[in-house]
Amino acid sequence: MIKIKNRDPFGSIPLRLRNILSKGCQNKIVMTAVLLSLFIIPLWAQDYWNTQIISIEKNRSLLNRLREMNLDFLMEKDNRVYIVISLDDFPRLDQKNIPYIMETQNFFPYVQAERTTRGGVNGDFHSYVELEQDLFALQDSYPQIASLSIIGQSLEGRNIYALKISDNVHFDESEPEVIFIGCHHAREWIAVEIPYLLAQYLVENYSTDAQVRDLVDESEIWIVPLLNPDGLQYSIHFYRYWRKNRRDNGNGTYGVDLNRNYDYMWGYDDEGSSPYTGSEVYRGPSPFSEPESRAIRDLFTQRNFQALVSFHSYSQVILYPWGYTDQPAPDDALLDQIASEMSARIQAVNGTFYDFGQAGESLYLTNGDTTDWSYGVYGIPSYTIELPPLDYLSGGFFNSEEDIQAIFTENLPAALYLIDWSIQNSSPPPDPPPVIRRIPGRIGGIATLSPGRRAIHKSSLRQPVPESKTLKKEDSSTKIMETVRPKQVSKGQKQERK
Amino acid sequence: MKRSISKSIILLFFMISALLMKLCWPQSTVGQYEDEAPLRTWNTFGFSTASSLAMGEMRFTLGSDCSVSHSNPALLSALPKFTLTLNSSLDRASLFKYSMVNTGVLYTDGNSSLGLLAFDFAGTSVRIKDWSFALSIALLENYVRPSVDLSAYTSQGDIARTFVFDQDGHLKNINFSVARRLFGSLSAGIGLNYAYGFLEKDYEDDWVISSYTISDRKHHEFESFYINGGLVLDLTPKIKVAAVFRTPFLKKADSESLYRYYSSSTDTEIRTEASERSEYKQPLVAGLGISYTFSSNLRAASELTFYDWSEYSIVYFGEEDEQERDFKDIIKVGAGLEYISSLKIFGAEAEIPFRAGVSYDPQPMKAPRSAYLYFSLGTGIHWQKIFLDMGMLVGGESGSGNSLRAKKLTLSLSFRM
Repeated sequence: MIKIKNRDPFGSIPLRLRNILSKGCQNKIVMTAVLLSLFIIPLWAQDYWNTQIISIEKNRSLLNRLREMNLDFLMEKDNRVYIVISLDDFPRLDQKNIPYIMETQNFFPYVQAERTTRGGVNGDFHSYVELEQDLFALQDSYPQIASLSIIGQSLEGRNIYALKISDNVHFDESEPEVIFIGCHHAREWIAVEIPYLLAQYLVENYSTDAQVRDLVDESEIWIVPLLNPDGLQYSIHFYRYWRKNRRDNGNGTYGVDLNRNYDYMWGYDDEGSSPYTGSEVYRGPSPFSEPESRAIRDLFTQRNFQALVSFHSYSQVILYPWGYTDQPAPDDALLDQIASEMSARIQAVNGTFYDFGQAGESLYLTNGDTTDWSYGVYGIPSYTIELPPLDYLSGGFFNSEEDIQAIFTENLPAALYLIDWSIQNSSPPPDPPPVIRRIPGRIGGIATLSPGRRAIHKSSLRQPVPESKTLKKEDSSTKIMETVRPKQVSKGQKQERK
Repeated sequence: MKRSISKSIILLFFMISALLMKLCWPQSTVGQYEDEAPLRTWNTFGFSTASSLAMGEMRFTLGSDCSVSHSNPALLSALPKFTLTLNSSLDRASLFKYSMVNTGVLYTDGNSSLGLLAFDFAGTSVRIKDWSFALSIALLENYVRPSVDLSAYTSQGDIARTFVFDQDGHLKNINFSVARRLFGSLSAGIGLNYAYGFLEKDYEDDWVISSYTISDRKHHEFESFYINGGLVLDLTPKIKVAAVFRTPFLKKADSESLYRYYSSSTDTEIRTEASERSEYKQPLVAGLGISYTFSSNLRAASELTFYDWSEYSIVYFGEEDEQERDFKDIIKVGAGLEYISSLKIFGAEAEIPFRAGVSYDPQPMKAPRSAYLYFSLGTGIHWQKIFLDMGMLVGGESGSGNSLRAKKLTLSLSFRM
């Protein structure tokens, strides 16, 4: 809930004019405006839902064909023409064989459906219980394309949910799979909202948005919006800046950094993670020591993902492997190209620039993190997206509630692009994966087995990446790890652990 | 003679006080998340003035003042025609885990302790024929925690970061009770209760060197109604039995939350606010008591109290199950003894009671299992219409691994006519 500071409806009227307007006159103006808005808002809303914005390549032959349709031209940008089009006109576009890109989401703020849950201690951000209810609501509202699974439980017994979105969602089809993960780190509340809103957007726009429908039909999208529910609850109830999970380390300290607990290059050095339990980047006693990171590991053994995004905050950057070293990954060029495409799509929405680059080069070294693991073990493009704000003086791990939708809207095209990239670059996997638990409904949560599936694609990139360096551990007993070595940082960002 | 007795009483008072100060241990904690846990113990049914506290918190069959209206109003029938009672207490308790202390953010070498001095009871009762009435106010629960005020300095001696944590709150209860002697040996009483109070928790984490501050404030205003009642039966001239109850009730709260980020260098402020209703479903309480009068100056009592904690639940800021409590039902047991000697002060007969008691007070959390064992002592002087009593309780906790300690010193002053 945002506090409205200026409650004066005439606050922006120059003083002289305010003096001229009598109090009665002011009241009439306000009343008239309110009455007019009662008529205008529904009209606008109706119009909004019946029209879409598309872009078409600026091409003489295409434009000639378009002119016959008598459409509303909106603008021209980057050699593309933007057009307002009614839903009835889409068949005509298809008849004339005119290729287009849906751009609506880049122009209108995404209108969020009414949340099924209300209240809550942390305003518009989700708590664990709110998220649980909202995920079930998505599944219940769109049972043909959304299916909720429990992929594990946290240390304190909370469920870790994954929402699968696809056509024929209860069957495993030979379609490429993409995973979006949120909230490894408890204090990064925005990292819960973006993957959740992505899920909501996909299911709610499936029937009306051709692009969404194509992506959902041709892929299997897995969304794990909250990997660290215990930490999130602690952050909500006790200390807003809590980062790790809630492991009792037995010596008075708590928590393991889940994003240092994956087994690829786990504990490679004490810069990218720490062996000390009190550290914010404590990597845990062993790889995958934590049930939360094991949930992702186990999901990967059962699925065949083509790409991964792990949402974090803050600093507005897109990071790709390697994080444990500043040496480039074997597929550095491709990873960079995809990151570049995603960054450009984010910037196209409202001009917000997300820098991008190799993690080990951009912010600081990290070992045992999600993206090094998913790229290093499964060979798939893997990205850490550090969401806004830009730096700690702009809010750090805080985001205002009114920014949630804006941040989602700017990230949406990048997410859709990555899904599309996975579809375009998929290849069959070697073996059909086993089945996993699925929850058919809110009550009971009876686990059922989904049918097995045929062998599917394997990405051209999907080759286990050879370790470029032998795993090496230093004697931690002689070093005190307080901070990590800051690496090159773009745009003057502070080297704070995200 | 009179002067020496007065001196002895005063000396005894200070000796017990000194002993309490010396034994200033810490107290309880058991669940790490329970902000709403009352200081010392979850089991806060009724109110013990000094005479009750000294006998192991016996208050179902024996009562010497109108505080019995909070536990067994039927005992009002046995009080004189008019009573007025005032009470104050020093309550000390030790805690280990609470809020962000020893749960990952702030660490202590051992337990923290907290002492609260409070004027915590005032009440009066009147008896008109077979009817008795009482009106009183009691401080039932305290939610205060040891506060934190930390500063970190740079190598140049400048303040780099400050951290302040504070939790405060209480629950007060206004009780209006009616009791009647039904027939010869049976009395019944019922009490209407209005409980109110607040719980507020704040912290401010000021990163001075980085020019930003984060803070979190949660505030709850409590209000609730419930009923309590009881029966007392004189089985024989020497044996009394009693049964008491307290209805389960919702401790409702108007709750507000504010998370705030502020950067002084960029004047950036981000606020996340919420305002909702919370509810704490307090458990049913039922108890049985028995007392035996050995002689005119020696009597004993024993009680057991059932708390239906397995039904405890919370709706926190409008969200059910947001903070689950894995609680079990518990039975608290205790016993106490009172011996009264007499002497003359200013030519008038005076009584000097000596009391002792023991009680076992299990806490409702399933894990870790935790229970207090209390020992209590007390004395006083009853002279004409003035009753001055003092009681102390000391106890230790086992089960949580933190060896928590508790003690309470209570001083009561009553007028009886």
